[in-house]
Amino acid sequence: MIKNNIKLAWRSIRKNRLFSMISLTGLTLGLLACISVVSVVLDDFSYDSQWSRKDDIHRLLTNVDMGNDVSNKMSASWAGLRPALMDNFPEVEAVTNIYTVDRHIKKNIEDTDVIDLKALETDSLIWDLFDFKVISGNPKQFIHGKSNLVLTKTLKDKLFPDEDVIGKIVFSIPSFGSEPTPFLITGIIENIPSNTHLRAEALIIEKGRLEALYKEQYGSFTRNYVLFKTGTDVNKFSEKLNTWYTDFVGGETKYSYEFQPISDTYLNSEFDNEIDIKGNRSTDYILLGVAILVLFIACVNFVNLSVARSLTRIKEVGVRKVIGADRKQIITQFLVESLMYFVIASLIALPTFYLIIPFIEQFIGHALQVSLLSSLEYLSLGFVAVFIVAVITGTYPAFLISGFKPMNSLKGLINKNEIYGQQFIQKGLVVVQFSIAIIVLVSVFIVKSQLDFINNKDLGYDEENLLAINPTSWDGKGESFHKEITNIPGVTSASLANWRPTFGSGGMLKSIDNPNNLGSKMQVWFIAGDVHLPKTLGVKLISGRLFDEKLITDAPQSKPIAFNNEEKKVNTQPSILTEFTANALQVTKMNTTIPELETNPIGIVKSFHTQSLRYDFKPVVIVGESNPDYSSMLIRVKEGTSSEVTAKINKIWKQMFPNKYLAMNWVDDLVEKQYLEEDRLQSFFSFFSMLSLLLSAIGVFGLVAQSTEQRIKEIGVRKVLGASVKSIVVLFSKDYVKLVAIAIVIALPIAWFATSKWLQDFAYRISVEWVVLLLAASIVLVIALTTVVVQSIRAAIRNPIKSLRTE
Amino acid sequence: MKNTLLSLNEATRTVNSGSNKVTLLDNINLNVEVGEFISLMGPSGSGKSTLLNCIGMLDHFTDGGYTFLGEPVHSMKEKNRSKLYKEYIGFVFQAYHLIDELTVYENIETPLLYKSVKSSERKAMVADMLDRFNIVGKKDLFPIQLSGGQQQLVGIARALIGKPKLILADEPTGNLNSKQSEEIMELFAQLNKEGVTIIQATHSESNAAYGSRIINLLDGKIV
Repeated sequence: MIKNNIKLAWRSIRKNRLFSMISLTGLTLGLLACISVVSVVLDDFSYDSQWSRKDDIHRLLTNVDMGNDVSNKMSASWAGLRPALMDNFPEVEAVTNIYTVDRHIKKNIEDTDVIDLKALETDSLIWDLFDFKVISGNPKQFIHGKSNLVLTKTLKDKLFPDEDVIGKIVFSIPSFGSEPTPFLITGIIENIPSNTHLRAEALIIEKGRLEALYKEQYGSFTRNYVLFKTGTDVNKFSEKLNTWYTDFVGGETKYSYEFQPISDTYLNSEFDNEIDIKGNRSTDYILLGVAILVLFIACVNFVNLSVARSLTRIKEVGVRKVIGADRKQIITQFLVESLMYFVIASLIALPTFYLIIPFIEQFIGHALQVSLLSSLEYLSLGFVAVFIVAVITGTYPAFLISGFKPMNSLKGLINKNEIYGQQFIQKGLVVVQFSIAIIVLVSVFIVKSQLDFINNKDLGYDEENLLAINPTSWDGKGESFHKEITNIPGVTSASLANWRPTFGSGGMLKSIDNPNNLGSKMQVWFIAGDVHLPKTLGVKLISGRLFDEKLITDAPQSKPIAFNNEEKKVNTQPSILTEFTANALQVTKMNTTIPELETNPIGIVKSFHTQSLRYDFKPVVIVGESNPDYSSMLIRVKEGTSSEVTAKINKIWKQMFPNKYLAMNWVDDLVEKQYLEEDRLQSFFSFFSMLSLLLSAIGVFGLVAQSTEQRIKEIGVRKVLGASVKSIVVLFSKDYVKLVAIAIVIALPIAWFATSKWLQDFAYRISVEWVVLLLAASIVLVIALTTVVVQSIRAAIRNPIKSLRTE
Repeated sequence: MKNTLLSLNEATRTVNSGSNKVTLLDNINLNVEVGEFISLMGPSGSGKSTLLNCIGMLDHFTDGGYTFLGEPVHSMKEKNRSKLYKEYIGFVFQAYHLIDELTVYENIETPLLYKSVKSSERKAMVADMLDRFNIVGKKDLFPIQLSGGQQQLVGIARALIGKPKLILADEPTGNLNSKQSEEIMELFAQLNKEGVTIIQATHSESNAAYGSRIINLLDGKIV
C-alpha cells in the first residue's frame, strides 16, 4: 500500500509541473534557510563544550562595586588570585592565565617578512585544563629561558611545510616593547577547534606570573581560568572565595568574584569589550526566528496550493471512496504525497547546504565547526523535525479533501460551507504570509537606515583621514618620531595621546561625587594627550581656548593626574571639557579649578563620541601631557595623500624602531568595526526579506494560476457576455488587494513595535517613520498586485471559444 | 429456491430545497432476489439514480426500511454501512469514473489495495480479470488512451474484482455507441448467468430487455 502511495505521489508531482515547481522551490529554499541558520546557531551554542573537563573549567570574573548599586563586570581578576586559589583551596586543581593576543613573527631575525598570528599567551598549567592533542614534540614540558611556542598543525604546514621545526627559534616583533622576543618552538598540536572563545593558531607558553595577592588591593589584572576538582559546587565555592577574600583584605572591598562555566563564556561576554570572539544570543534568536518564518511561508504556499489543487481532485477521491477506500486510507495517500515533497526538498536542500557552507563561513567569519551535518544525532533530529513539519503541513489538505461525501464529489457538488471554510483558511494564511513579508521588509529598512544614520552621524570629531597607531613604548623617541611624522607632506597634524577613538571613553577613570545628584558617584574619564590632540582629532571649540603650544603648563611632562591619594598634591592642570562634561559638572566659568578632578578647565569643546553610538556620551576631560613614555599616536592626513603618507610613516618607523611592529589603523575603519554585528544583521535581513517576498509572491502566483484555471469557463462565459479584460482582471485582483491590505494593517504595528525595540539598544537612533512603514507596505502591495494582474491578464486575454470548448 | 438479497419497505428519500421539501423517492417497496437482473427505467428526474445510490448506500433513505442480506441498513451506523457496501456491492458509472493517474492494471487493482489483499493474491486476481475481459495488452495504458467501450470494460472489471454479490450500474452505456453498448450488455448478461445480481438504470428499451425484470419509475414512485 505504501509503495503504491509513493508511486502515486510521484506521478502526481510529475503531472502538475507548475504546482510542484512552486512547492518544491519554496520548500527547498525554506529548508535550506533553516538548515543554514540552525547550523550557525548550533555552532554558536556548541562553543567550548568540546573540552573533556568542560564542567570543571571556569573563567574567573570580577565585579567591581562602583557605588550607586552600579557594578562593573570584568573578565580579568587579580593575578595574585592564582597562587591564592591554588594554595588555599583544595577544591581548585589548577589555575592558568590566558590572553588571546596578536603576535608578529619573523622566521629569522634578519627577515623583513612578518607573519601575523593569533595566539594564546598562557602558562604550562593550560595543559591541565584543555585537552590539546600533541602531534609532535613535548610541549607540555616547559623549557626555561625562553617563551615556548606551540604551533597548530595548519599554522605549521603554512609556515614550515617540510621542516622539522621542534627546537627552532623564531622572533616575535613587538608592537609595544622594543626588542624582538625569541620564541622556542617546542611542539605541534592539532588545530584548536574554531568553536571556542579561545580560538587561536598557536600557544605562547610563558613561565607564568608569580604575583602575590596584596592585602592593600592593588596589583595587576590577568585572565584567570580555574579548573575545579570534579564535583565541586562552584556556586558555594564562589561564596567561600568572596568570604575568604573579604577576610584577607581586612573586611572591606569593592571587589567580588564569580565563576563563569567555560561553555557560557562565548554567549555571555557582552560586558567584555576587550574580546572579539563572542556571540550574541539575541542575534541567534533573531536569525532562527527569521529562518523559521521563511520556512513557514514556504509551508503556507504548500498548504494553499495543495488545497486549491485538491478541488480538482475531488472526483478522484469520490471514485476511490466508492471503490472501497475509507477516509483513513485517503488521508494516508495525501499525507504520503506531502511527505514526498518534503523528502525531495530535503534531498535537494542538504547537498546544496553542503555546497554553500564556504559562503556561510565567510559570512560568519570563521569555520563552522558544528552543523546539522556534523553528527548523525543532529541529522536525524533534523529529519524528525522535517517529518513533523511535513505531517502538520500535509494534514489540513488531506483532511479537507478526504471529508467530502463521495456522491457529491462524483457529481462535482461541494457543500458551500466546506468551501467557505477552506477559502477562509486559505485567505487567512495568505494574510499571515504577507504580514511576515512586510515585517521582515520593514526590519530591513530600519536596520539599514539605522546603520546609515550611525555611519553619517557627526561624531563630534573628524573620523575621516585619521590614522591611529596602537599604544606602544616610545623609548624616549616619541617627540622626535612625532616631529618626523609632522614633517611628512600630507600630514596636517599628529598627536601623542593615550586614547584612540572607539577604544573606551578615555585612558583613565576617576570616580567623583555627582554634583547633580548629591550622594551618588559619577565616573569621569580622562584622555591625556599632547597639545596637538584637539586639533588632530578635529573637535570643535565652543568656548574658552584649546591647548597652546607655547604654554609649557598646558602639557606638562609629568604624570598628569595624581591618582594615589597619598601622592596628592595641589595640581591644577589645565584641561578641556566636552560640552556634556561641562553640563554634568555644572562648569560655566573657565579657569576655575574643580578640586575633585584637580583640574582647571580652559576650554569647552563640542561633545564627541568616544564609543559606539549604542552608548550615550560619558563625562570626558582632556588633559595635556607631553612626551609620554607609552602612548598611541593620531595622525591627521590630507585628503588624497593616504597611500604616500602611510608609506612614509612605515619608512620612518622602520628607521626609528627597526625591531618593532607598526600596528596602525584608519579611524573610520575602527568606527565601522564597531557595527560589524549590525552590518551582518543587515545583509542577513536583506537576503531573507527578498526570500520571503519571493516566496510569498510565487505562492500567490500559484493560487491565482489555480483559480483562473478553475474558473476558466466562467471567464469564457463572461467574455462572451461582453466583459472587458480589465473587468476580469479587477475581478481576480480585488480579493488579493483586500488580503494584502489586511496584512498591512496587521503587520505594521508589529513591525513598528519590533524595530523600535531593536533600536532601543542604541543611545543614538532613528525613530521609526511612517514613511518607511508605508514604503514597505506599498512594495509588498505592488509585488502582490503585479503577480495577480499578470496572471489574470493571461487568463483574460485567452480566446473564450477555446476555454469554453475545453469542457 | 429463492433467496432475498435486499428488500425495501416504504423507503422514502426527501431533500430540502430551500424551504420546499422535495420527495425524490416515495414509499418504494421492492424485493430483489439473488441472481436477478433488474432494469430501472423512467424519464430523467424520475429517481432512478437516487434509488441506485440509496441501494448502494452512498446515499440513504430518509424514511422506511432497507434490509440487505438480512441486515437492517436503515438503522446501521455509517461505518458499518460502508463496510457492508464495500464487501458486497460493485459500482459501474455512465462516465466510467476511472482514476486518470492510474493505469488499467492499477485501476483494477486499487479496490484490492483498500481491502489489504496480499500482493501475490492481488496479482493473480487482476491477471484473471484482465484475461477474462481480454484487455491484457492494455494493462499498462492510462484511461485517456482507451476508447469509451474499453474504459467501461475496465470500470466493470474494477467493480467485479472485489467479488461483489450485487452490481449497480447507472446508465452504463450512456456514453457509448450502439455496438459498444451491445458488448457491454452481453457482458452483463453473461455475469448474471454466472450468478451476479445486477440492477441497472437505463433509458434504452433494448438494454432493459437484457434484464429479467423491468421496474418503471415516475416521480419517485414505482409504476
